[in-house]
Amino acid sequence: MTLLAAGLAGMAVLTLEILGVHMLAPWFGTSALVWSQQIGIVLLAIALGGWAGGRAAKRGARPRRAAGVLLIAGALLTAAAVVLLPVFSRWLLPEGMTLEEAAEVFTLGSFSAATLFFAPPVFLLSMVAPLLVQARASDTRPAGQAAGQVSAVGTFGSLVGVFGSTFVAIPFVGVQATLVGTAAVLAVAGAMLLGRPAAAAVALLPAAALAAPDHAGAAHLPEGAEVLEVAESPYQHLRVIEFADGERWLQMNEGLDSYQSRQVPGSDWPGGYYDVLALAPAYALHGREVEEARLWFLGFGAGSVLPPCAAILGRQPWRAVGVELDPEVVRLGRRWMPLPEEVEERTRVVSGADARSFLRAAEPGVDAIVVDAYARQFEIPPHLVTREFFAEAHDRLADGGVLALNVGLGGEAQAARAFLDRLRATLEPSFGEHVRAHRVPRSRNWVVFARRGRPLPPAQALGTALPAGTPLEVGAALLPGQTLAGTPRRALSPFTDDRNPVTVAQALQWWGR
Amino acid sequence: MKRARRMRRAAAAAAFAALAAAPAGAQEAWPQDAPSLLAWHARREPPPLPAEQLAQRCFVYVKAGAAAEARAAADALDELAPGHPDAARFRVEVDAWLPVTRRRGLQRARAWLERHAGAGAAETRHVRQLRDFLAAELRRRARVEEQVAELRWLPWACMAAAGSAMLLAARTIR
Repeated sequence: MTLLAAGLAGMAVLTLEILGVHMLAPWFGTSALVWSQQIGIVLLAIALGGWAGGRAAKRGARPRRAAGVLLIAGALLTAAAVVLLPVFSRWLLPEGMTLEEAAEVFTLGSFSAATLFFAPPVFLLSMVAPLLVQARASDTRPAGQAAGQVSAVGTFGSLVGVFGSTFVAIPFVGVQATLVGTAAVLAVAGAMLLGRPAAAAVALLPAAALAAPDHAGAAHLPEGAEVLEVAESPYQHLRVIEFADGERWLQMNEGLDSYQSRQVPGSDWPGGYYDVLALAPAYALHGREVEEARLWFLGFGAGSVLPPCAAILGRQPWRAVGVELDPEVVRLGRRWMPLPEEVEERTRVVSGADARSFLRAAEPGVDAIVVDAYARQFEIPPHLVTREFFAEAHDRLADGGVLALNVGLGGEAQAARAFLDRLRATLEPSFGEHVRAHRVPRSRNWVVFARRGRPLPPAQALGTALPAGTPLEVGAALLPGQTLAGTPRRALSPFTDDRNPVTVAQALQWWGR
Repeated sequence: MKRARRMRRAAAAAAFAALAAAPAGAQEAWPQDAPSLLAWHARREPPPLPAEQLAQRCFVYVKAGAAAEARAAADALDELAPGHPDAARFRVEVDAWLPVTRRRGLQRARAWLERHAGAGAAETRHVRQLRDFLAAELRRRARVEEQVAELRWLPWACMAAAGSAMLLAARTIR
């Protein structure tokens, strides 16, 4: 029983650590900062709990009983977190925030919530192991052997917590139910250690947490919108919302005023950066003739950028590959934001694959690679903005082919420019001077284009290739005032696979530093 | 207030284009899509231009969302006709697009309404809409900032609460 308890405590600690981030996600996002805080707080609680457990083992005469009490207390705190964390988060977050305003409050809020709701149960559960070592140690089983056994089983339990959370709990059980189930099992194990099986009834208390209303789906809901579906994937918290005029947004994690995919009823043009990203095939095919244009979309989402690309391509035959890391995103997109039939027919979507590793499998000769991959809302995955990645993309492009990147930049113009300069310096080794950035009108986003082996055509020349009806904003993005051409004059070190401060650079940029 | 809320989402959806009222006396049909905008931009006449044409040019850039070009046209208009109501009006709209320039936009909108009390109904309505939107946005932002400032004590309080609970548990359990 003591080894089983050690395993369960180990499993619960890691489950709390991982699923804790999923509990925080709808309110505070899952930025690198949120993850780091959660891991740091859990590790601190483990360390303190181990120390305190050692002291308790030294002075206590009944370590088994103490471990039982701790398991039950940990179970109740875990269940309480399921109920109280959403209430606490809703209470402390200002209504109507925008993504740009959220950076500081998310840091404060996620730290506070993790400290209050996850540190105490992890602390209690971490006190269990030294007590169990004490309970198992005897004349025939020395303390070293007992410690090794408890440690090994506890670590095995942690493994179950890690893999079970990601591959079983989130996709099949749900975050809340898993945490409540974990709490119930801990309570039963605690009752068994106490030697009072009747006390196992206390396990029913955590189960009551399941009756708590689910607030997460409505977190940060934009005004006038209603939720169509909420889903949890191993990567993020997702939801599809709809406005009264039929416009739909696919949002991830904290959502706020931003979206991962967007669909406007009756229009090929979703607006914003999607429309400007659709210039990629126009740039790529300028001055070239191809039998069939080959397009790759890394960070496909629900495919919002495809209809405007198809509109720009007109009668030019094309086919596309969309790569999306999160299969749940693809499912939600197909259900709530289906692509036009003629676009869907020409598109192959690969889900569950990492953009960079999948791009390596692409046959060379791609005409346009469109990168709209965001991890944790506003962070471009570091491995998709390195000199090495751009070199790989360059190798996959046809001569004259174009790489396009969506870059969301909050804060002051100067900070945004500094980030763009660094990005352009990272593109330069592969693409030389053939790099151009366009500001998306009325938005915090920029779209960066880089062309292999040929100059990017002037805006006027590109304009003649655009079909009638292309939104005014696309034209505005091409005007000189919204354009940064070439690479920065001052020497800047590029982002590389080995040394990549992009996450920090973006975080500082969003914080306006 | 309701109008301001609607416009907040409109800002996210880049629907400001529908707001800008054309300058009084605008004759020329303005570009309706990207190809015509780029063609129009390429064939625009060199300076000096009369104020009406500069105002028209500024209006087109504002409709399209070309902030830098709209500001340059507004500057040129101001240089030619200091205090021109359209230059100031379009600057207000450009300022309204991004959070970092909204405070300045509100000041400009208020100044415009004071200075141009006799302006046309469409222009006045346009600036009033922008003023209401900007005022609501800045109020909302101030409220958020105030709440964030109040939250700065929270991590300390949570650490104290969690630490006390853990200390109690460490001392009690035996």
